[in-house]
Amino acid sequence: MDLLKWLEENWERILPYVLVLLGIAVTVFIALFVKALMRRSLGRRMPKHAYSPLEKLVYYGLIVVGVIYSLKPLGLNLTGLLMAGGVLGIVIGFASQAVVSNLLGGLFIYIERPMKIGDPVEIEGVGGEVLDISVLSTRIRTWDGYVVRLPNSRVFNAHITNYAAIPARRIDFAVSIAYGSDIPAAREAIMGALRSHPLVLENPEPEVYVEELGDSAIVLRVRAWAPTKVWFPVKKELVELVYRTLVERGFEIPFPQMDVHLK
Amino acid sequence: MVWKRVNVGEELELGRVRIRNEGGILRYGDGYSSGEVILEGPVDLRPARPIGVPQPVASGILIRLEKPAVLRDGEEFWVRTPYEVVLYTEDSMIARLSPFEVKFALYGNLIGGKICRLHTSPLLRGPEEGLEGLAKIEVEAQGTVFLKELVLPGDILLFYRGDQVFYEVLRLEERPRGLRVTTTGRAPIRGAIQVERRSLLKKSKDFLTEVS
Repeated sequence: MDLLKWLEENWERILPYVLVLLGIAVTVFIALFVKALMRRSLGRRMPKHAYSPLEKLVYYGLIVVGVIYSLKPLGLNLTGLLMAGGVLGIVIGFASQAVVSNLLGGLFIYIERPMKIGDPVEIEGVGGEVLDISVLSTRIRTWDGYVVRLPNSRVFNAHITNYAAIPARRIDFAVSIAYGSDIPAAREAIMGALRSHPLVLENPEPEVYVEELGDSAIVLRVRAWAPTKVWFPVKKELVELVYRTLVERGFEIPFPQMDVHLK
Repeated sequence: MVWKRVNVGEELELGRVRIRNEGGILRYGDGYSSGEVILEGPVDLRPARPIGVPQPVASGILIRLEKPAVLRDGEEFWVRTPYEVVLYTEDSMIARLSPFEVKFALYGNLIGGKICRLHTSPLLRGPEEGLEGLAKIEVEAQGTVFLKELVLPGDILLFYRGDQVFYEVLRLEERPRGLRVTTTGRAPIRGAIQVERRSLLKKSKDFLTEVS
């Protein structure tokens, strides 16, 4: 009876606190609901290390805004608080512009997926294998073994050549034979060498043609396709194989030369 | 069940594959790779899908017919198919070799196509025994179909009876987008033993006939 009487007498004083508690409870409920919704949709599609900070940002952002508004019944001057928050936000915003830009870049990379870990790529002149795509940066191990870190904002805006996105890649090199050589025989010898290699694709067909009648030699262009995964090892083998084949068949691979006529 | 076994002191030739078990050392090769392993006791062989030699680059098998054929609905035909051979002992995989010449081709375009192991075969009206594997194909079409080549999935089931290796029965279906080969999981002949799909050798991924 005393409690009821006390409540009746102090209700007006208690009410704001009740409203604050209710507001905070509703805020937490909404934040949890949004978090669950995000986990169901984005959480399954995004990698954990990218999703986790995003979820925290949204969750705590909602809590902070909700708590500030919930404190209104206590007569706190929210305008001042929000203004202070706004100013602080601007300061932090300027300070963390690069971080946010990289974060968004990373997010867009995850959504667009122009590459994945392990892909051979070339980004802004940096060629190598993708080691890691994190929230802020992408790390690439270059062909000569160095690890290069590229900020995600630059990666997202850069031209990305992903060599793994295609099943086959062309091998292309030139080989010279001496003037006077039997061109069809040389072509046939090279084609035979290409066809003997198990990893040179039958389709698209390899091709050999005269590219140029050079100063010192007839330049033949050799083109063949190999599975992307093994492109470089096959290329190394083919250049040597073609050279060996031509030498074995008696074709001369000439040095640069010049005839000088004296009068 | 063991498909083939090479005991100590024995030699085996299977197309390009050469295996010599000298007792204490095992020598093997297929022209694409070769090796020597210290081994006391016999070595076992089993057929494997033809997508691992010399490197696992293919995701399908392309059978090109020597001559194109016009086929009718309900018709059945056979083609010769490639396979590979896995050398293993009780709990260790030793090597993966190819009894046949290996070639690959791109099926489809350069963006959405796939790399396939290429093999050329005549069209057979019945199972003619030989070193190569055999696949039976059942035609399901509206009328007739013009066939130059078949693209089979890389994860095909393999069977054997005696020395002969078989693929599971395949169905050639006419679809709005063109011809498509589907697998049935059925053995093509009675008494054929299915090559185990799961790895006997848990430590070695290469032993699996699947290629990731």
